[in-house]
Amino acid sequence: MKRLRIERWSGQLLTPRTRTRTIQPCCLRQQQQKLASYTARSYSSSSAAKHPSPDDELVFEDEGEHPELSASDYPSIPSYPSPLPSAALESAKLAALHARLGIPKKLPLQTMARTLVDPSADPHKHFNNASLAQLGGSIMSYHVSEWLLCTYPRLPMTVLFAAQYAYSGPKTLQLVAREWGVETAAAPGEEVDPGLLQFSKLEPGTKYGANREGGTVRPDSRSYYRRGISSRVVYDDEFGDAIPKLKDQNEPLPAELAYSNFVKAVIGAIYLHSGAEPAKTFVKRHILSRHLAMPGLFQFKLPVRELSRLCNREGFEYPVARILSETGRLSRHPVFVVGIYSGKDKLGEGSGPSLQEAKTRACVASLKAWYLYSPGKDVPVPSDMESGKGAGERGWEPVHIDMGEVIH
Amino acid sequence: MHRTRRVARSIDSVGAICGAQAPRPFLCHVCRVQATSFSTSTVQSYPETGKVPLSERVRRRIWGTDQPPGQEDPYGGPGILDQVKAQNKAKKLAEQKPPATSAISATVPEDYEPATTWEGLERVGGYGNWWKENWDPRHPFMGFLPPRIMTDPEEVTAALHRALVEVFALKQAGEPLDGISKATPGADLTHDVQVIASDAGASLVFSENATLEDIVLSLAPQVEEVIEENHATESEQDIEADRSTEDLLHPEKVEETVEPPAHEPQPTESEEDVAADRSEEDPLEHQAPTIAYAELVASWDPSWLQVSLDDPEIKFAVIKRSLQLTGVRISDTSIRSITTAKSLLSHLVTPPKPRKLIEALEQKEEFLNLPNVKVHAKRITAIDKEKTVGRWKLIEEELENRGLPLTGYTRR
Repeated sequence: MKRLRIERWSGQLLTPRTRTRTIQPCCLRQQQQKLASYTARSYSSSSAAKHPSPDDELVFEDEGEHPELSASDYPSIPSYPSPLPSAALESAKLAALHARLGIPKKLPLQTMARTLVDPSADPHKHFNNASLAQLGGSIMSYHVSEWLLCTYPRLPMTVLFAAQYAYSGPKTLQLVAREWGVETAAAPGEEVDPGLLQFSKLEPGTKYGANREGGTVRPDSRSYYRRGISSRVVYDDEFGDAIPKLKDQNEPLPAELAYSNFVKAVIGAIYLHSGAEPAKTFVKRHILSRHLAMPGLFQFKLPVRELSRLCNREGFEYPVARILSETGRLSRHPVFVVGIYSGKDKLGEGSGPSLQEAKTRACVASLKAWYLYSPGKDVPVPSDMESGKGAGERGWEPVHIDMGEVIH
Repeated sequence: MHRTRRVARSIDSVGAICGAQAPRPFLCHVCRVQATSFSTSTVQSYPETGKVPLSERVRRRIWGTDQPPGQEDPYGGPGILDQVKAQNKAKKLAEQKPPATSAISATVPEDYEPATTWEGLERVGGYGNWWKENWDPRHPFMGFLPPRIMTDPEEVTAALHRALVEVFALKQAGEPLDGISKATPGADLTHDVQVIASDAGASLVFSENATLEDIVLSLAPQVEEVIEENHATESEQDIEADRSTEDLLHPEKVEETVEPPAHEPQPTESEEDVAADRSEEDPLEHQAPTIAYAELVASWDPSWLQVSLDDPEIKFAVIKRSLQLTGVRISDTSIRSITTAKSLLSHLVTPPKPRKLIEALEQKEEFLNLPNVKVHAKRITAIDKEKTVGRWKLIEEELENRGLPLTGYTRR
């Protein structure tokens, strides 16, 4: 396994501040997207002249090797779009946030300040949090998904996507960041306190990505293609949502996206400066410690049929609904309690004002009982083997992962 | 208690005043009638009007004569005690004062006319030329305290060391300690002297640069010589005047003679000494910054700070001398608690009371070192707050677009 060279990753923090006027792709995905767009557009004669070749926009990490790209070649910029790294040492807000989150001392305040600068505020990739957010987002979604899969091995894919979104979606991350006490700056700039989240705010009443063109990165982007769940696993992001193909990094964005990028960037920065284990601990403490009512995520169209298919697939006896008790059958508000039995085993029970309703509820309860099976809260996850206390002491016991939902 | 006469109401006196003046001013009928009817007391004015009160009439009737014996008005006038007092006072005055004719009235000339304006009158009082005559710019006031108060802790430490050495040198030489501050502080000879705490206060270890005699001699007051010079004979004064570089006729040229111009060749050492002796400026003041006090303080045995100051005579002498050297005052209450040189030093090097909050915080350095606390020297205005969140540049732009002033008023 190839060793990660963390010092090389974080080296861009230490490079001298040389700003280029060209807008550079701020993260890997965008770089690829840009390259893809250039190759796609180079065939059209009209727009070829407008775009410079991607080689012109290459930014070399080591400036010394390329004297022709020295800072003096570029026009001097009177003010920077984001606060200087030296300002981070004087910000009380930033130091308080650093201490409040219990972030290790290895993570310097300058990096902490960088996590608060969105690409929409500072397009220079050495000074915004895009790369950190990309890294931290991957780490966070990895830990969340492995925890979800190991804790609830029988979750249907849609519920898994929803749970992932509920744990690490932008709305949740915005809540998390607000609970951390992070406030937004009214407008990004050099004079802004580095402890404030800086991004270009979306104008009220405008829709995010409204003027964006280019669709998604999915190959079957045609509208009449069916976007199945399995293809979402392959092509879409961790929440099952399509990834937009082109994204202007200067584009103003809603606050929840900026907040979520910040939280991801913090995780990425912890990973870079302290290692994988502190990053995992941070995710566990701040993301996975939140309570999510999993039964509320389910929605069944035909629960009776699904339960019978499930029993058929698993080799159980055909489920039978039986009245367990009833009251007031002839009254205005009768209550029936129905149990679903597979042979002698009761799969679940439900109550309702009619027999049909009670039977449906009982089926839903049995399905949820099946899908929400959990071996326990402290299930070993694959990342436990990489680092931590029990790493390597005992061998890896494969966790039980079910074949998933019933497709009917 | 005697009966007091009823005081005439003020409203009654209006009529009396009006009646007394020759050109009678107008007084309306209502006022006159009201004034008399308002009065509740009978005005005793029968000598003028010839009206005899009822009590007097009754007395006359009883005695059967127009001049009845006894007191004229038994129900009025001053009480018996007041009468006796007045008699005694009059007697005393008569005994003390011989009948004297007024001297002032005698010297008033015949043709005296009181002035109606102040023009041409002699002015009496005020300062006049007092300041010009009495204030000599060449002899400014030299107080006991030095003009500059020491603030550098190392310098203050060195001054305290010097005071200690000098006090114990005087004590060792058997000189009286109260003459410690009589001489103006000269060159510091005590740099190489070590103070060692002992049972009898402290013992001094002298070096070859400064012996006990040198130090005691340096403390001998030159004040007496100055006094002698003041009372010198005329011939001596003349000689002194010839020696001195001051030109008595042109006193403003003194500065030039004392400080030779830079382009002149450096004078010989003897000349320098002579100039230094003659000049009134303290040579120490120019030499002081060149001394590295930190190294000096480090060269001393630290046990000198443990020297006991329990003896009140020594304590007073040391405090007086250190006050003269440093200019730092110590309150009487803290003098009581001082027992060693160290405690005295702690009072001497106490930083001055800060005038601003930021200065107080800088002295403590507790808040300034906290990373999550930011201390500002100035008030944080609304503009500063807007700048912190980055909104001010937008506000500025909008205000400029609309031609509005940035800070609330237009600059003309």
